[in-house]
Amino acid sequence: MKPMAQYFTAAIAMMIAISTAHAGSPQPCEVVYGLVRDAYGFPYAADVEIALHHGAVECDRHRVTGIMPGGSNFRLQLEMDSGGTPYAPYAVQLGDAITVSVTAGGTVQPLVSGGSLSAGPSGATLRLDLVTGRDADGDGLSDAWEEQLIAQSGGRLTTIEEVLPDADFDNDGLTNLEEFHAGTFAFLATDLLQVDQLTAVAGNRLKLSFLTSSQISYRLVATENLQAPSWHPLAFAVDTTGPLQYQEMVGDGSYQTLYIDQDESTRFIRIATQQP
Amino acid sequence: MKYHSDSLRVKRSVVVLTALLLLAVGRSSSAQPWTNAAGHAVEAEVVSLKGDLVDFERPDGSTFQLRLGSLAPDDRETIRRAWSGLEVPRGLRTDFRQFRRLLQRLTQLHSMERLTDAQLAAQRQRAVKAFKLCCSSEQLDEEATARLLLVSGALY
Repeated sequence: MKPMAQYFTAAIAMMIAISTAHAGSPQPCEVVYGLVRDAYGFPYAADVEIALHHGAVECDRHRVTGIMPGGSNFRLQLEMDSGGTPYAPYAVQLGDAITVSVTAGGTVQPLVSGGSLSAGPSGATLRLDLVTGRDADGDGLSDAWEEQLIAQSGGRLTTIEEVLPDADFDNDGLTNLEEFHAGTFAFLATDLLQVDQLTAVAGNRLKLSFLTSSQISYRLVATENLQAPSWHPLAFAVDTTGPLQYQEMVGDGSYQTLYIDQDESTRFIRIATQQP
Repeated sequence: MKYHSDSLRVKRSVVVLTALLLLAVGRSSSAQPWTNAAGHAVEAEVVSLKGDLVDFERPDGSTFQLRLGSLAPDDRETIRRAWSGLEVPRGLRTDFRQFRRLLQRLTQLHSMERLTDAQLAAQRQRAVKAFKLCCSSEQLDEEATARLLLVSGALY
């Protein structure tokens, strides 16, 4: 080998070595998923996109098509990098600041909360529930939702500051914030998440029915006592003879009937819906 | 066997919003708010009017009775006009309550433009059909069924 060629070979080898020392490598990605709702608390079902950004770089984007397992309607991935020079422009490293955008009707929407997160660790799963809209009084309820309650309050409420998340405007036992998350109307006392019927039926089962909200995911949990409750999933069937399974059901705005084992009648049972 | 059906409650925990089946009492519940002559609101649904006695039912299924004359004049007249000689059979009360709740939800969603006219009509029609089946299985005659549909608001 000629001296000049030897020089170049050595230089290239050194560059590769340096590059290898500072380049990041792919790591297990972080999964970010959750439920994005509009300002009135209704989960988006279509025509909405959620994206994660690292600076000006878009890391991932999801187009909402409906409710998915876990009561979510979006799922995104952050490609994680081990450190040094990222192996790809969209790869991020532990602790990087990530911003979240929600685009509806071609317009990026303001978010009540959840507009940013810190990347990592790799392999992690992060639930991130989002609500579009403005929240001028910073109480976690969108202005639009609060104004709707004011409009229905018959003059009892006049400003959004008077609409408190922990208050129960319609006196139905659910706070305003709980109604927001349940997709029920906080100004209608008859509109709430509630077991309307619980009866014993054939097949050693109990039948319970309740009014669902569209696109809201429900599951059953139970505990032995309420002094030191330990809630755990409860299997249910959707008919009298079907298998009892640990599952979720997605509401469609109508009454739904679920069946549980009659032996569960000695326990406390909840209908649960995911919320932030 | 122990049941907790009379005390269903909805509570929030850290990650879940829940309906609890508890043995608690004094649950606040309401439906149509009626007002008595003293101006106090009574939150319950009418299920029958027999003579001067109005039977009300709370959403948890408990019932109570008031004299028609103890209600405010407007409510008295409304109930007299709609409910005279009418009663929701005991076996139909849960279905009737659920039917009214569903109609209220649909009406509200429509007023918020979450449901189109066509969607409202279709869903209301489906609900009416289901309720009529319940009435039929309770052997309710056509006139009583029609009157229940009227007082439920299904025909508005």
